[in-house]
This record gives sequence, C-alpha cells and structure tokens, in this order.
Amino acid sequence: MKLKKMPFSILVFAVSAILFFIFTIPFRNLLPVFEFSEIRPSAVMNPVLGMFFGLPGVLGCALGNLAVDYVSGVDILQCLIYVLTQIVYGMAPRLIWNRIYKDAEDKYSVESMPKILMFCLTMIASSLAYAVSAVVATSFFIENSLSFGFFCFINDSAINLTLGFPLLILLNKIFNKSKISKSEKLLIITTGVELFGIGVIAVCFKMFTDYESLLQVEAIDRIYVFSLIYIAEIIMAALVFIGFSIRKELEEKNHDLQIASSIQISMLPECANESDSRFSLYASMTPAKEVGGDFYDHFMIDENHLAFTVADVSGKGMPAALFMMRAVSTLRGFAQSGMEIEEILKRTNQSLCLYNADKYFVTVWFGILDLESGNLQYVNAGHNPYVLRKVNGNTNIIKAKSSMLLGGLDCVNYRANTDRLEKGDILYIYTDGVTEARNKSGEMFMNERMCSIVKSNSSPEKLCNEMLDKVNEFCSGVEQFDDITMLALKYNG
Amino acid sequence: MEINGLKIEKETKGEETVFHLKGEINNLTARSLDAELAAVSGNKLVFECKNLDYITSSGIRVMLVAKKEMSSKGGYFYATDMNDAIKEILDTVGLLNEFSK
Repeated sequence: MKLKKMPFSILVFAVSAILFFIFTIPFRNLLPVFEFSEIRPSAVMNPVLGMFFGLPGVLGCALGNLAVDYVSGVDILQCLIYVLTQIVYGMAPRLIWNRIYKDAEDKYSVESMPKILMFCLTMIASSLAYAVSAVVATSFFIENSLSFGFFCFINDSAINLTLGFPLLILLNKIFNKSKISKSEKLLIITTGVELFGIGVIAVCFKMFTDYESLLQVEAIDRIYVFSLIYIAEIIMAALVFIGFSIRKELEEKNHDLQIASSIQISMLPECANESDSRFSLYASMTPAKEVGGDFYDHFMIDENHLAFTVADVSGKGMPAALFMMRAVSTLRGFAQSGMEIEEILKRTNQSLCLYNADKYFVTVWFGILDLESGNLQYVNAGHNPYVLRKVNGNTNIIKAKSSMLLGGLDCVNYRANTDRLEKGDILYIYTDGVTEARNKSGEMFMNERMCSIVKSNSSPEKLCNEMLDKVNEFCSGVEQFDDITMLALKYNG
Repeated sequence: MEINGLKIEKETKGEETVFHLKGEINNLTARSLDAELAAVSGNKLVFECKNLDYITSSGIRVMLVAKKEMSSKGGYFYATDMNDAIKEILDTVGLLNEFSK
C-alpha cells in the first residue's frame, strides 16, 4: 500500500508542476498586471489540486509558479517568498474541506446545495488567505502591496468560482471514478455561461477603453468587480434550479417508496387478526424504513392444519424488501402444496439459493399446528427461539437446536422439532427487532422484558399491541433501526 | 484501510489469502469487505477474527459470498479466532460448522 502510494504522489507533484507551467506561461505576457503578475486562469489549479491531492499537488503548483517567476526574470529571493504564499494558498482549502467532510463518502462530489455553497466559500477563503499572505510578502518589495492584494483576491476568487467546479468534477471523475451527477452537469453549464459572460464584459471594457488604460489597475479591478457580481448571480440561479430539481427527484422517490410499501404490506395476510373457534392469532410487521425485510404469514393448509411463520431477511430497506417478496411467495407456495414440513423448508432453501448471487438470506421460524390434537411441528431455520406461555402463566423461551438459515447454502436437510399445545397456551414468535431494540444509552430490550410482557397477557392481540408499545416506549428518542415483527397464537382446543 | 469501524489487513501466506479483521461487520462496513473480497484472485481465503467484535446479518452474508466464491473456484473459506458473541450468532443461524476450519 505504502510502496504504491509513493510514486503516485511524486507523479502528482511532477504533473502538477508541468501543467501549471504550461498553462501559466502564455498568459504571462498576454494580460500582465503590475510588473510581476498577470491575470492567470491557472490560479485555480493550486487550491483545487491542493484540496484534491494535498501536499504533492500544492508543492507541484508552487514549483510551477517558481519556474514561471524565474524564467520571467523575477529576483530569486522574491521567487522563494512567493513559494510560501503559494503553499498557504493551496493548503487552506485542503484543511477546510477535510475538516468539514472528514467522514463523507464521496467527499469531492459537489452534488448537494450545502456542498456547492461550501465549495464557493472555501474558494473565496483560500483566495483571501492568499491575498493576505501576498500583501505581507510583497510589502518588502513594492509600495502598493495592499492594492496588489485586493487585485489578487478578486482575480483568484473570480477564477476559482468559475473554473473550480469543472476542474474538481473532472478530477473526481478521473481519480475516484465518480459519476457526474445532474447538479454537476448543471454546474459545468453554469461555468460555460459565466465564461461567456465574462468575455462579453471584457470585450465591452475593451471597446470603451484603449489597451493602455486596461493595463491600469483601476480598470482591471472594475472588470473583476463586475465579473464577480455576475458570477454570484449565475451561481445563485443555478443553486435555485438545482434545489428545485433535487426536491422533485426526492418527491418522486418518496412516492415510489409509498407504493412499494403498500405492495409489500398487501402481500401479508390482509386480516392480521384471524380466528376460528379453535385458535386466535394476531401478527404485526413494523418496518424501520418505508419497506422492510421482515414478514409474517399464516394460512390453513387443510381444514385441520394451520401454518404460521415469522421471518427476517438479511439487511434492510429496498434490497431486503425485494428478497422478502421472493421468500414469502416461495415459502407459501411449498407450504400450501401439502408436503412434509422438512420438505417444505428444504425445497424453499434450494429455491432461494438459486439465482442469488448476492447471497441474501432469510431466517425463518415455521410451524404447523394440528388444530385437533394441539400437536405442533416446527422448523427453526436460523431464527430466534419461540416463547411459550402455558395456560397457568408459566412463560419460557423454548430453545431447540436450530437449522441453517434459508438461501445460504443448498443441499441442507432441515430437522423438525415437535411440541404439544394445550388449551389456553400462547405461542409467541418474533424477530430480533424486538429483543435487540436499543434505547438512548445503547441498552437492548432483551429476552427478560419480552417474556414478562408475554407472561402478563392472555390475548394475542393485546400481547402484540402491548409489546409494540413497550418497545417503542423503550426506544423513545432513538431512530428505529430494525424491522419489528411478531406473531402470537393462542390454542383454544 | 479503515472505513466506518472495520479495519481490513490483507496478508498472503503461500496460496492462502488472510484477512485480519478488526472492528465490526455491519451494513456499512460490509460494503468495503465486499469490495476487498471481489479483489481476491486465489481460491483459499481465511478471515482472522481475533479483533473482530461483532457481526450483523450483513456480515453473515459476506461470509456466505466468500464461502460460495472460494468453493466454486475449488478452494476453501473459513474463519478463525472468533469471539463467543460471533460464534453464538453463527450457531443460531446454523452456519458455525460451515465457517469453521
């Protein structure tokens, strides 16, 4: 890693220096200001390369600048002092940007309004830092160093605000393979408009003043002041437009999510509260985001056998939700065909392992209750153990050896466990969204709290509602992190 | 490299690639691990988990991908030195044996 990095920073250093030299020299005699400076679009390279590459970029530009000064016959001592001002100029934006966007994922993309504004401010700040250091440095050599500093400030800010965006977007595209977003495209267009506008302003000035007086500081200052006002207006207009399109995009996405959410909810049994004389059942699924990866299901296999399940897909949000849709249909399909419980799980697993390159998986607690006898058969495929509340109120977590989750590895055999429910017993299954819900101090809800709520309820509906209330109360003030799903079944004999 | 609390150090021991993992594998850090995994060219991979504190379901998913990738190339994948919390998670989902040596 380190060996690889070394030549890269030297490369950045060398290329920055050469490019800086190449882009500065033509402007040296074209648009001179004072006797030792000139209007130079390459002024944008130092802060932007500095921000992007750090010290190698800054030193490269400083060296390029030194070379330009030297071949133009500037005194060598002066040249060296300017190197220091160039380092201040290039490192200032780096320090600001890294402090603000330390943990940002794609930190050099300017796709959002706050980032665009922050980039403008950073560019203005680095121009100011340079101007101040230039005033100090030139005060040893010239009398009107303050006026020179002012010129530097407006020169650099105008150029940085105009050319900074396309240069940064280009660098980010080349070195971070970042995609150019809609708002970045708009910024590039904005730059084009600005350059055209500045050209018009410059031509107008040239028409009304002769070339000699253009060389005078006042005239050039005036061009810049006009240009800066113009740039500010264009950037503001672009920001308003970008903000508008971002909002529209978000609204569209939100709308799509709402529809996805209702499709998902309608996939689960419509009536969560199902009962006949032999049992009563209640279930709920509360996704952390609009859509979730948990599901519950229950249906009659034949007139005496009730199938019921709670499951949890890995991950969350849209990817989990898509896999959940697949898992719920597959499991329901095999279960309704009337095969043995081990076979249902085995087939579902094989099916979910196919065409599953990203290895999404689902943990499932699946049970079939014989409503005549109270005999329960269940398979725990990598899921949380169930809670059993006996009719006398005794409540226990029933731990049995669990089998492998579904969708992970094929060729797995699933082993069924058995239990027997008596009249009045309540069986409670859930996802880890219940037990691992966290409160403000990071504590988890845990099995004990869950069991005491199961113990104190003899109606499935009340049980589930109280559990959800208690979990929400426990986590109040903390954003819900995981989907919360549960199913309670009471056997009435 | 360290992103969002997972440090991945790679080492090549003969034909084996070893990832020394430190921190936790969660929804966010799994992405960087996925990327490192895709860059493994051999068919023998080991996760050394002595300093790995915790894994979520995303961590299990990455391990499944690793297992499948290596097996399909005729090699193997396993994890070593897992702490009790991680072992318990893998045991619950029935994968502890699959991911042990």
